[in-house]
Amino acid sequence: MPEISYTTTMGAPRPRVWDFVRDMNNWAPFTRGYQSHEILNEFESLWIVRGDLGPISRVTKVQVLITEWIEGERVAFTVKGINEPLTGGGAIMLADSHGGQRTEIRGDATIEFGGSLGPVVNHLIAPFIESGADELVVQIVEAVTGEHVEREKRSRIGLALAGIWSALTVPLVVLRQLWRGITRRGASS
Amino acid sequence: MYVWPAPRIAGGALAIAITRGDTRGHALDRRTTVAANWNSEVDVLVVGSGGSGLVAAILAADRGARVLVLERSSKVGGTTAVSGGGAWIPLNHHMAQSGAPDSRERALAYCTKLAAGRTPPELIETFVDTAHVMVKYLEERTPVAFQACTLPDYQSEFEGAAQGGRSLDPGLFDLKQLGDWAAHVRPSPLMFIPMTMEEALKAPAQPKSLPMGQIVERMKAGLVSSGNALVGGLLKACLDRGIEIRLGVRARELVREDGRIAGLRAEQDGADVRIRARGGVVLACGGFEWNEELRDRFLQGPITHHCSPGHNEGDALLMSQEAGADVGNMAEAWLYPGAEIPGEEHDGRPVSRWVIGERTLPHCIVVNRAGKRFVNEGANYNDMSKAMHQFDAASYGYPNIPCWSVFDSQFRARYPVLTVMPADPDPEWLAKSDTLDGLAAAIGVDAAGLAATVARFNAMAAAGRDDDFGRGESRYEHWLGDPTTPHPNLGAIEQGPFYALRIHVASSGTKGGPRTNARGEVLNVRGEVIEGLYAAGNAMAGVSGPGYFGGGGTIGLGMTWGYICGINAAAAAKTAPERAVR
Repeated sequence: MPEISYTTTMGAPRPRVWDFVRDMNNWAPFTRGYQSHEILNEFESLWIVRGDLGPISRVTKVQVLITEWIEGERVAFTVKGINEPLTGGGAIMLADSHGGQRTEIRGDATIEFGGSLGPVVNHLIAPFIESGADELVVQIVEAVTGEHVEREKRSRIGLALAGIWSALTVPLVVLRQLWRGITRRGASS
Repeated sequence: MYVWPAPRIAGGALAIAITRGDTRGHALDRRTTVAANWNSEVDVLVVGSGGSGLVAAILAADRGARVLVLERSSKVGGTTAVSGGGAWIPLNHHMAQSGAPDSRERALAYCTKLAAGRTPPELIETFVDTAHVMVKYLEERTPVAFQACTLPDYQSEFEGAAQGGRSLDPGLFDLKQLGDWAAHVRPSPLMFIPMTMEEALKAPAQPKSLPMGQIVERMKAGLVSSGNALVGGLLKACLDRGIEIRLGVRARELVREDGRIAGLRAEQDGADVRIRARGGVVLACGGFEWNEELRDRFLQGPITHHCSPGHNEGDALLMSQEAGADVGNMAEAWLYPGAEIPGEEHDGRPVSRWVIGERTLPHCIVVNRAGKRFVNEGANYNDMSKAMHQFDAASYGYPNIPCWSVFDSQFRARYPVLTVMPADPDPEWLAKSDTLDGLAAAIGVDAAGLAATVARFNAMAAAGRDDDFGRGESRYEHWLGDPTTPHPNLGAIEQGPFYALRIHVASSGTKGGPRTNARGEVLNVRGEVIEGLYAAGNAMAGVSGPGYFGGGGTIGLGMTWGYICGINAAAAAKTAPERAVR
């Protein structure tokens, strides 16, 4: 099963990171294969992405459920495929670093295709997940810090944050829920 | 709309029209280009890097020729790379080893029957006599290693058909052997999971038979199968021989010199390059299925999808016609019934998946808009598609396009639907209803017609015999069928929910092009050889006429003609005059 777990720090204080990511419109266009999303209720969302499966691409619909939410500290979630036998989940953890000048981010995520073709599909999607995560994270870092990320640094940064965005659909929903939580429920739940 | 560019006059080349009298007093208007100088010179110039072209290159190099392969795209392998990679080879030595020897007479009878009188007998004889020699040659001198597949020939009940062994599978190939060239092998949108031919073809009826653990290990090891395996082996052979392969170079115009084709003008990075070929030019750059204008002009029915590379736009056909070639078999293509998974794409185009189990296995039928069956659904994909191309003189249309595979929950519980496995959730793109009437309404099919058809089919399935179309009576169908059910191909459609999969006509390439003789030389309308010009594979007038001999029928013919062209072009180079190259 494709599984990623990474920790890194971002050169911006946590409030600044938070301000950026809590509005999904800031970073949704960065997500590779993003097609659309639909809010089903406070905890559930339906997302459509185009992902690579070897040399072809396919449109995948996934439903994401927020299972735990602590503002600014931790979000846990599960993922379930609508038109594919896909399951997954993970968590994001944020913390102040360097006296609050930087933000430490840790992400853990897994995604797994089931069914009899699962082993093959899981092998095929792994490169897409890693490269897509790298792409998304680099652009978020650039947007938050205002700094251009050199190509040679991209891999490191991307890997560091890949766990957060492992399935590409996951971060969209998670951050969307963060934003919704912030705007609707205040401090925590 | 495809626009063929006007001949260009540049860099010392002069486009002229030559009128030459013939023995019957007619005039042949031969438009060609005479070159005053060249950018480079080789002995044999191969256009296209599919199976036909690479075999031609290997043979020419082995005969001492300096060979250059031009590939229009950035990837090697052409249509071969995206295919199943099988080669249909009568009399091959693997058959003898497996205790199922072939005979020349049987192979000739079978091929002649399927060519339906559209191919000169000497070409069929040449194929039967040369194909097995070609395979043995490659296996002895290159990394290519075939294994016999037990798949029966596609018309397994015809005289001379074999019940297995003629279809050869290229097995597995380690792409790492190619070094940096591995990244230049064209990936296949359909055959990118490393499975043998038998594994792939048996999977629809017995999905649990797939050795998933082994397949994953093959993937981790960098092993490929099917067309990629065959191209991998051939490409390695080319690299071992030092054969130059130029990517991103598109051949555009043949150049005549002293009455023979002496080379061509190509485009590379927006500039013209003229390459002289002392022995000849081998056109092996595929068919014209992606050229909408040519497709509409020549093919006998609508074909909306193709699984071949998008650059198969008829370059060989147009260049050879411009040089005076006669053409043949132009209405034919390698057809298959296909279906789309909405949203699935390759190179920005919809992927057309082959529909095999969804029309061959029990508990399914294929119906047209009237809700009626119109063909033995278990027929081989080429012939099934021809039934879809049936023209209705009354309505001036094609009543069997589109058509639908209709099946019930028994089918759904046992067999895959495209890539959806039995235990997977129903995809939203698959029409579904608890009743046949509801299903008919959902897909726009006549409900009464469908109900009557299903009732009749169910009665025949219960009796174990299809009186209408003879489905499930051939050994080919049995081989693809489910060995665990009372009849491998028949079963009632009776348990809801019911499903429907829309089917279109697709192709893996066209079969028409310049006519050749048994030496691979292109002929003009008088039957005369156009010296210095050869053609092989889907670029040429297909030897099989309307038919499809068996699994690998396309590649077997293509590689054989590549073999012939390579030998003869190399021989011609030895007697060609030397010319100055700029």
